[in-house]
Amino acid sequence: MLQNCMIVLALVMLWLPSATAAVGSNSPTEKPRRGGTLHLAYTLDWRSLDPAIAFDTESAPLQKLLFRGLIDFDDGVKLVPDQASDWNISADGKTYTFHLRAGVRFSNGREVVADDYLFSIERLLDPKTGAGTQTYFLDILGAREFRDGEAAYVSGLKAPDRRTFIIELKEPKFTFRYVLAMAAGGVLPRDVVKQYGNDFQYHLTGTGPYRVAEWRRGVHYRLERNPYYSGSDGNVDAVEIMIGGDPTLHAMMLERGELDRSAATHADVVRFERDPLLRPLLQYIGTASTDYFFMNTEIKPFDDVRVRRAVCHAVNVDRLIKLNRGFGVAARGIVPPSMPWSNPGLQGYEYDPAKARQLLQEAGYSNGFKTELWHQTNSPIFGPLAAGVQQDLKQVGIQAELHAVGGEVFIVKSGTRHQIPCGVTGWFEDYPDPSDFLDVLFSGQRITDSDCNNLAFYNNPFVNGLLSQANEVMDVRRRTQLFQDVEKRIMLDAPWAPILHEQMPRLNSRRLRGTGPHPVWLWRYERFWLTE
Amino acid sequence: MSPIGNTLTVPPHDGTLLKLLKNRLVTAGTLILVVLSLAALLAPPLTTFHVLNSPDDQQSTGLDDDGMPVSPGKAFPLGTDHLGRDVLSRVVYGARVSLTIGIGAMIVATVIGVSVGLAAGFYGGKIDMGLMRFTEMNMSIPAILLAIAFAGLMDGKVLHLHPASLPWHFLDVRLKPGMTSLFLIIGLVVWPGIVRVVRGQVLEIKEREFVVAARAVGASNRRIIVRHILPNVLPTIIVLAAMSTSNTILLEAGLGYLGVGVPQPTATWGSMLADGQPYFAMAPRLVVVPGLAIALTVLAFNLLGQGLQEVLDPRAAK
Repeated sequence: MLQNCMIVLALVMLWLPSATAAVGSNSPTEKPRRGGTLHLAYTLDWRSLDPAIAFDTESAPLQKLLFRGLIDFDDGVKLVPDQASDWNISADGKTYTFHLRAGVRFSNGREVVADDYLFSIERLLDPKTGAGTQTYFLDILGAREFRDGEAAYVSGLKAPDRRTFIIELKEPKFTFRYVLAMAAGGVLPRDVVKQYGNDFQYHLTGTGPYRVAEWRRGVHYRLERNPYYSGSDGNVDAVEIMIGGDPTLHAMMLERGELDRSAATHADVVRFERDPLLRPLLQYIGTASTDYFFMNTEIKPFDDVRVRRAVCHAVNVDRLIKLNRGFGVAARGIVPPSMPWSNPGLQGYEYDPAKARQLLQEAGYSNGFKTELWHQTNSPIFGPLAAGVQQDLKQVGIQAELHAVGGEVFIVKSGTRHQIPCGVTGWFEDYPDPSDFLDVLFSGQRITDSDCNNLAFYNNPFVNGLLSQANEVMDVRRRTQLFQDVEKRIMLDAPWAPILHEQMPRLNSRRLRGTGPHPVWLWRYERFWLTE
Repeated sequence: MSPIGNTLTVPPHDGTLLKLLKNRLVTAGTLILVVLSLAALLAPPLTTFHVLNSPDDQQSTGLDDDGMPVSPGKAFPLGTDHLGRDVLSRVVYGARVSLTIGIGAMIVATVIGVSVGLAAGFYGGKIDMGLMRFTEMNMSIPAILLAIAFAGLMDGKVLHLHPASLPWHFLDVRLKPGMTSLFLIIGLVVWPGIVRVVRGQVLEIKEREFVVAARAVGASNRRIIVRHILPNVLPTIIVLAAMSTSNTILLEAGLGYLGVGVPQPTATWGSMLADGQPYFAMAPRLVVVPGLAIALTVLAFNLLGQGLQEVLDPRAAK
């Protein structure tokens, strides 16, 4: 997933034990206290908290307060039934059968029936809804026909009785189960959505532990307990969310005891790190992501592998990490090391400007060259990273002109062929499969003239062959080996200079507990609790 | 040269220069601007001779172990910024950008404003009506919003000013962010403020005897405007130009702060403010230094403008 601060979806992150080490003051022995109001702050309001429309990492933990679905992750990445009493997948991997738990009610008091689930998925597939998560549900039998208006209903969705819900897929797909655990898999009441149409976002009704008690767009939200919620989640009585201000302001408010949790800027991270009284309030949350410098292998001079290797030697990763202290760990390869199928032995390219100059000379660029370096403005990291890379390139004679553009423009430009010679961006994992990095971002067979995710337009027939082989193999060990070979080969061809794996610094108030990170949701607000 | 024209034009006051020199406001404003201009002009040679660091270089000693800016010291008299660049050097180079864009935009705005004001005031009638409504339309949109909108158009697209069938590519204009586009943009949003004042003056002057006399002896409209009216509006124009420069500089800083000014890593005071903001608690100088630079420059142009008004246009000054 292209990283775009507000439009990021970290759908499913597999398993990142090392990266998610909690630093906050969370003692597992303390028993959570119920009650109190949790105070949060966000810089900007969301486009919507409607689970069909919201599509970003930041809002996912909030959506989980309001909306719940059939299955969810436990504290790790194991899928467990949430509002289903049980579920099973047929032997051929095509049919998912769910039995709904009795007594589950929406926040308006009406009981949930299987038809609500059927409706919720149909709504995601309806182009009129404009759901960013639509593509994930297209593996359902008849989903494409319904989307294209060729069918009046989705043939793969069935609700034979009030408590039974069946999904049939076109073909077996292992990763589909994770799709159902996404925030977008939350159930919505058919009658309420029908009543309000696109205004449903102002009348959010779900089955989560909380409901929206008050919302003033761009000012604040107040969430209160959903009186009809029958599960065990939700420690605090209410959540008060302030919208506006910047992270610097939020950090000051947190110090004054006005907020319980906030994001942190580089300056605040260092300030909290240096102060022994503030240090315990700082928490780093690791993510399965890679920020990287890509070189378009179809645009001169990056079509020459010597030039690309020179760039890899010129980029000083350790210095770039220092510029973004607290926001990432150095990347030596493409795949985040927190993945079980990553290759921790990968060394990457050593910082060696002399070698870089020599390689450039061999390639016929002894006087360097001029290029354009693109990046997006809506991230606290990409600006300093781009300026840092620009400086590193200048040291070896490459003059890169910075082009800072908004996230949407960047996605369109960088995904279009022959447009951007090089740039800085990042990728958040979508689903727990190595293919999400290596196949989605490097397969030559996936190159398209627009909306391409292979920003380097890297096309190596040998790698393509290994990738198709890996996609067919079911044996985990063999598969891991193949993907590690692919990664090594790609690193040799150097379409990317990987820079860092992002982590999110967060500040917690002294009374806040239960902030242990979650590998998928990053954190779970419903587990947060207050000591006073 | 017509003797009538010369005698009937109000000549510049004798001793104007002396009066200007005696005026404290003018002296103070000029002094500040001379210092700033000298700094701006001398910056590149000073860098060449290593007296001043390069403004865009991320110095190897410019960040501490935590990646934080370094405090003022021997190597960096005003410390470094969040990327380890020398703040003194950046603020000096920022003066180049601010002054160039500020004065460039002022010239653009004055040329447009004066032309429209002269035409509207002199010709009156439908021309006046049309021009003034157009001006008011422009005034009704806040300058900064209009400037952001214009700046948004500068996305590297190529504007083909020639007919599509002809290969006159020398007429192609590449819309890209930079100094030139920025001073054109700012000039294009600041001019309406000048029109009204100029038009008002023209309305008054064109009824004076010397204009009537010039017309009576058969002087053309063009001649009357250029030889009789313009010289009489000139003092006002000079004052307006000085005053509007502080506006254009503020606007440039504002756009830089919002990230739509001259692209990074070029040092501009506005972008220095924006970059320094998150570090305000730990290194206030990152905000104070560019802030003072902006305040000082704007003050200098305001002082100059006010002083000029006292000397050249004493009635308006009261």
